[in-house]
Amino acid sequence: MEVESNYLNHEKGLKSWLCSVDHKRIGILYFIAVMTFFLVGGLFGLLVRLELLTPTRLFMSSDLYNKAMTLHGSVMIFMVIIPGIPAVLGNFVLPLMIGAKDVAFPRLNLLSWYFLMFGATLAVLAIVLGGVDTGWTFYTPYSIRSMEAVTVILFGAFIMGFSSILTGLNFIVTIHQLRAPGMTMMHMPLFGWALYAAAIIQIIATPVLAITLLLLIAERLFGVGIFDASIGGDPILFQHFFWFYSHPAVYIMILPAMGIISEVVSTFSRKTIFGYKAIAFSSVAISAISFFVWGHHLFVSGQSELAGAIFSILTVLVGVPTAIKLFNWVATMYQGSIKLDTPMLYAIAFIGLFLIGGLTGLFLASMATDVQLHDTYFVVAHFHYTMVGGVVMGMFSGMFYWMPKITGKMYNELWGRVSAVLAFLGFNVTFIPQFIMGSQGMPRRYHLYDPKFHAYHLTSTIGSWILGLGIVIAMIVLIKSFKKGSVAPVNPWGGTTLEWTTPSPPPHDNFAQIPTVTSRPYEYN
Amino acid sequence: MSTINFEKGVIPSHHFSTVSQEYHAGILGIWLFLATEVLMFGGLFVAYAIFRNMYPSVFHDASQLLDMQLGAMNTVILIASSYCMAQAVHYTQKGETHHAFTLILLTILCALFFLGVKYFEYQHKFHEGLLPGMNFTHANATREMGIFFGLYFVMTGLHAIHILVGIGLMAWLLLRFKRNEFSPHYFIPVDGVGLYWHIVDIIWIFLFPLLYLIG
Amino acid sequence: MDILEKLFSFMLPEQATGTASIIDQIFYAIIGLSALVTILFFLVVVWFVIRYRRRREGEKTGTITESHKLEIVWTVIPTIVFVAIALWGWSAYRTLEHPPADAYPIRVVGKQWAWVFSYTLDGKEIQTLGQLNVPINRPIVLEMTSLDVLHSFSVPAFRVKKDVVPGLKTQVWFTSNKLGSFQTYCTEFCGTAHSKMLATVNVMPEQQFERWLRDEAAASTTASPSVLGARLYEFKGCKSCHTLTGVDDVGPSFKGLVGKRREFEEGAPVEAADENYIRRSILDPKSQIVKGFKPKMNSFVGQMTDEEIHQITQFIKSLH
Repeated sequence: MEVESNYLNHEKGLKSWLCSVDHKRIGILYFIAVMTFFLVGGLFGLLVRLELLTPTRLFMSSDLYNKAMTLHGSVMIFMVIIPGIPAVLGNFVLPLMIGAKDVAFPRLNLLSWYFLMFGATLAVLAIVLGGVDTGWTFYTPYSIRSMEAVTVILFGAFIMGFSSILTGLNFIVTIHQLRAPGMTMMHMPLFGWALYAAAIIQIIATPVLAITLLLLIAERLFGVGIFDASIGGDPILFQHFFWFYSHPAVYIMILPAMGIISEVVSTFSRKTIFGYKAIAFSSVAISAISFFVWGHHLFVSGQSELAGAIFSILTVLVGVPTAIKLFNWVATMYQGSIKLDTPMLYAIAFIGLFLIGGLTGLFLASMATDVQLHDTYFVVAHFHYTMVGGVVMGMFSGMFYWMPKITGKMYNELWGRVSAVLAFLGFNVTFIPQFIMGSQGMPRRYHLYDPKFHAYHLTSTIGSWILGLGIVIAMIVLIKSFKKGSVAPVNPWGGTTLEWTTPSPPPHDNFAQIPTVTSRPYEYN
Repeated sequence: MSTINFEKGVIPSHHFSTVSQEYHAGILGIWLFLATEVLMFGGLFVAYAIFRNMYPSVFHDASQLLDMQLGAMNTVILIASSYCMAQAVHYTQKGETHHAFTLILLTILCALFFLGVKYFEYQHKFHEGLLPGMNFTHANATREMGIFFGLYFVMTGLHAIHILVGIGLMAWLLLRFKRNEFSPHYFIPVDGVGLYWHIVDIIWIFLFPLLYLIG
Repeated sequence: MDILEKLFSFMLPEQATGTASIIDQIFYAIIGLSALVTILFFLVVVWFVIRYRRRREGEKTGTITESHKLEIVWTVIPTIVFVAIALWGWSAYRTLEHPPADAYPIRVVGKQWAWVFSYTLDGKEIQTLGQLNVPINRPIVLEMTSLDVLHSFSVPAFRVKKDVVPGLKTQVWFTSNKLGSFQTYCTEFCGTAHSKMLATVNVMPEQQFERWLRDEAAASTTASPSVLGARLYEFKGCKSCHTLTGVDDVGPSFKGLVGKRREFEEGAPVEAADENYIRRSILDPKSQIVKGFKPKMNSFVGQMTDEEIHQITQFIKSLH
């Protein structure tokens, strides 16, 4: 049988992949890298949970536990959920979605991937050199005194920051310059808006992380002193710098996931997205407000009360555009024609879990309750509800949604659904107990704990196995579809955006002729 | 830039439909990148502001230990280099690439001179024990001065690295000039490196008074 | 509010201060709101999924694309509710933040990985390690600082928590209204034994507290240097790395140390460990790392007086 030429068979050989400047192939490169990191980070997470099966030492020393906990956090944050959606799915889908032949700077795009890999190599090197035990937040002065490998992983994170900046830069220019004729900003699919809003944060916040990490490296190598209280520096300043990046950074992670949900909910309800403008502008509003909320990480650090109050109010305000999105997604389902295929199941899991993640954020944004909950498992649970319940669920929703386009093959729907249900259940079993023990005062990052928390930890650990199983099944289903799935039609879900007009998998050049857009996206009937 | 005529049989890269689109994409990309540079240095300026506010007199005293004349000389050199760069871009757009070539060479020489001066300054500071933070050993000075010198070395050091990168980029431009790759229809790299060089210059124009001229 | 409290009180620890309920009220209010919103969302989503499930391909769907009225409703209502929560949290925080002027001060020093509490009685300093004794029904203010890295002092039953920062003084205050012992935690990650950096607050009747303080003050003047050294061994944190059993841990054991030949990672060996060797190990530990150990110990310059170094040396000498 004659196989049509597509981006997968356009060229052959390893070199044709590693030197490819085709956004689709680079998306696949990112997919392989990010999924590998995800397995590594997940393994560390499962090990941490396993160690916490008992209140006393099970199989790790405290030092080892601290390292496993740090690596779980660093790998997942810097190597999985920051690049996860933009670099894998954004890269693959964005140009197709806006009717472009590639991103604006294809070679820069490849370079970003190599930056990520170089950073990842340094992270591996840091593990080989003895590991890192500072927590992913690298708080000073502990991170100044801790072991040698910290410098290496800091440099790794610095390099990965470049990868993130360049991806964001590429997307902004692509969206501004390469939209198909007729596609105004207000005709752009919402995933594009979400990537755009996230890219703004990548551009503005990541350089501040870069300088923060550089200062910390300089502090460690040359004793610069600005974070060192013993010579007049200020260790709290590091936290301000760090969170000036890292709080907006959680929106780098979540905004693209929200974009996916907008696509998936509309497609699987066969209904025009409700409140297109509200969703688009709320993305931009989130990215704007996100720069002024970082101080809520410092309510109990000795920060002035007034500063705390201002940050507290700004923090709850960032919840408003988030709430708007949730309402609009649910409203989209009204009078729809809803099919619960795997992407939609993950999207609904996202809506439920992210809702809880957002609401529990209120406890932490309110200064008084934060005193009780700060640095406890409540924060751990809240964070995982937004980052796993949100970002990871969104990422899998998007992967199942676009996988037929990417591979040209259908995945196994039954097992896809099984994975979604298992991940959802396992996730809740893992993290609901953490809300409770956190409220009772169980501090985070504890290797040994009070036996009165045992029942909660035990449940949480069992939940982590169910969650892990769900994720592993999801990965197997996705990867198997590469090899074995039935041939995917051009538009398996009845989507209305441009990527569903090209063959599956798309040809090397995406579109034989650049389409001209005359209508808004999401028009059914 | 309104005088530029893009459409003269020049073919854009495969994923752009017109040369004008490609040019504007390139320029937007460069500006975004420069914004990240400014933000990165912005973090350092914030740190500077905080500590200067915390230790005003220490900063004043420490500043006196820097050599204002050398700093002023370097400022003039960089401004001159920026002028050369601007002219080089201008001549490239006009198609007089041999002029542009010479001017970029001049810019590189200015940059090297700047680094030379910086080298002597640093050496002098090392010698006197005016080192960052923990290593600060200068006689009869307060400990907090280490913070000033910590910032001094990080800020000027990071700036010097940018100068080095700039020299590299300009050398790459020279190579491409040699291969006759630039014309009034294609000069984005020259424009981009030019803008980069101006930003590096502007950052120094802020660094100089903040570090050398606290009076 | 009562119903919410009944429903969700299992989530919070016991209240051992009068002010705890101020925080708990907000907690119950937000959790009530969250539960309501979550249930409503859940019901609506399930209803939509069932009611509007796809019955056949190509069926007609609704054509509503937006509603300004709805957008305004679900923008304005969350804004008001959220800001109200923030303002409530702020006003509660204000009442909780500032200690009454007559609060009884206790100094707290956090270090890897122990809490030291210091009281003053008649100009004399009384220290305890990991045990914070306080009288009931009296405002207590803890003035805290750290000797090394960040720590955070948390007593869940009192609903207090504050970071303990090197080079900075921070404080928390509370008035406990319940007798008994309450767990404290270090809640800011501080390294290897972070999860073992615990202490206990013992809330006791006023007279018992006064008596305890006087007895402690008396005991500290009569003890011998080596007994005081034994206290320092715990208070200064030597205990975290040096055992008294002869088994090496992070650092060499103190048992039988004096007189032993010492070989170092770098530099000439010391034939027999003596008082000078111990002194140097305390003040400049990196200069003589014993073979087989890692340079983990930080200098105690400024953290121990000559008197204290003498006491701990006498203590080590007494260990055969």
